[in-house]
Amino acid sequence: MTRILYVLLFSAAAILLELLARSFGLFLPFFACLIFYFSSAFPIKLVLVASIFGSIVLDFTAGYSFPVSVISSVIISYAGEFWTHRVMIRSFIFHILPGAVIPLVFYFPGILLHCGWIGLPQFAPHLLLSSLFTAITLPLWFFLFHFWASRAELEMDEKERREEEEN
Amino acid sequence: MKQKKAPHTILLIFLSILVLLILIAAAYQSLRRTITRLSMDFYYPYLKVLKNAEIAISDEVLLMKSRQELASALQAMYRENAQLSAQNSLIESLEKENSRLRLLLDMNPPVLFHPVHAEIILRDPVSWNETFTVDRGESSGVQVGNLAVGMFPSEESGNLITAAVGRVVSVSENTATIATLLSSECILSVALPESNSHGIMQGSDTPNEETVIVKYLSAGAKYGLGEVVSTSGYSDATPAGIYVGTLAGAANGKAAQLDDSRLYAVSSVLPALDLESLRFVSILTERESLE
Repeated sequence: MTRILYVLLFSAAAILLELLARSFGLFLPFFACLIFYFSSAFPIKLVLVASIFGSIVLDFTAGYSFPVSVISSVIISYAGEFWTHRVMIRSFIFHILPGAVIPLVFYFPGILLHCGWIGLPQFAPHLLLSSLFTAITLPLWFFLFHFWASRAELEMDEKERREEEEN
Repeated sequence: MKQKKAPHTILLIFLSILVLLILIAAAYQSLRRTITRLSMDFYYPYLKVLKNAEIAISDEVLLMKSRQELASALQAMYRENAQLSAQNSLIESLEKENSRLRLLLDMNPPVLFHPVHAEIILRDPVSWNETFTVDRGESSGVQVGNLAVGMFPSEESGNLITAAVGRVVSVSENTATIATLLSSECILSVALPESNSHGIMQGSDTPNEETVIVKYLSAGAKYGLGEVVSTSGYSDATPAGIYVGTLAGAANGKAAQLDDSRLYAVSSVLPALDLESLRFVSILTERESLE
């Protein structure tokens, strides 16, 4: 139950932050980063439910007619699980790599749906800036959320826990 | 050993999925409206906090001005306010007179509009020119279909003019989403008083597109580039005579050209709205007719 509340609370906060960033014309994928982190720490089923509902809320609140982010957030959820459970991660710094890719995956379907291929060059600078931001901040997100989760004594995913014990 | 699924089980699963998809498709629009309403009302106070902070900061910036500057600005506002009050009372008397005359002629009383001032609280970079959300909703009398107008500097005189911005496409208790004239969700009936013609204007959602196509114009009328385009008022939700923009011409370079059916003419309109600088809009809501 605590785990569900934790996911719900931080998802709502991440969506709010992302909506505020979008209002200033910025692509800062707070929600996608959170989903990526959740998929490394919690069971994939819980993360998928959070990512689908969160994306629907995010897209409809932003005024989209179709919740296109659902596709990208599901991809990010599975990619997050693969990254943390299949790829050996020695340090938080390694999260720079997925951090650079997350905005491209997350915003690509939305841009394609609303603006078509001709819209891509227009949004390329925004995406690059967003990519840089996420590459820098994703390792920090992991560090902070691991810290908060351990302080809240949350039950993390089995594989994650085993890895932590091994380390 | 794996058991093979019976053909009727597979058929049942297939049918269940099909029924589920049909149900989702049928209920999609109402689901979308419900989710949007709930989420907008949930996030409204938090989004509003940021706007309030902006206002507080701009108020603080005012204090940096000298007393003389503030006093002269206040004087100017008093003068403008008095002038507007006088104009408003004149309009009210004309409204009453118009209603009385219509009653004498056994005509329905005119639909009257009340402007609701609203501030933009949410926009998205992808649909920046097509949709935005404002901080007024059903609680302020805003309804789907209401016209939103804004103040923009005129290119010719530099004076501020009131021009159409778009239509309300969805409302929640405290917020409303507006589709701008450039959006395909905004359909507006327009009039061209100089050529005595009417048409239907609808955006295309095309990025970087500054003009909007206007269809079903009279094929026999003579059009001129730069001709004024305003709202026709044919819909009860839209007042007549609100400035929309100017005629920008058809694809062949002329003011208008015949469409494929050759029954109507088609052209494009350059809207007066400036979406980059837009922060406030007035939503024209219906109010009760005068007795």
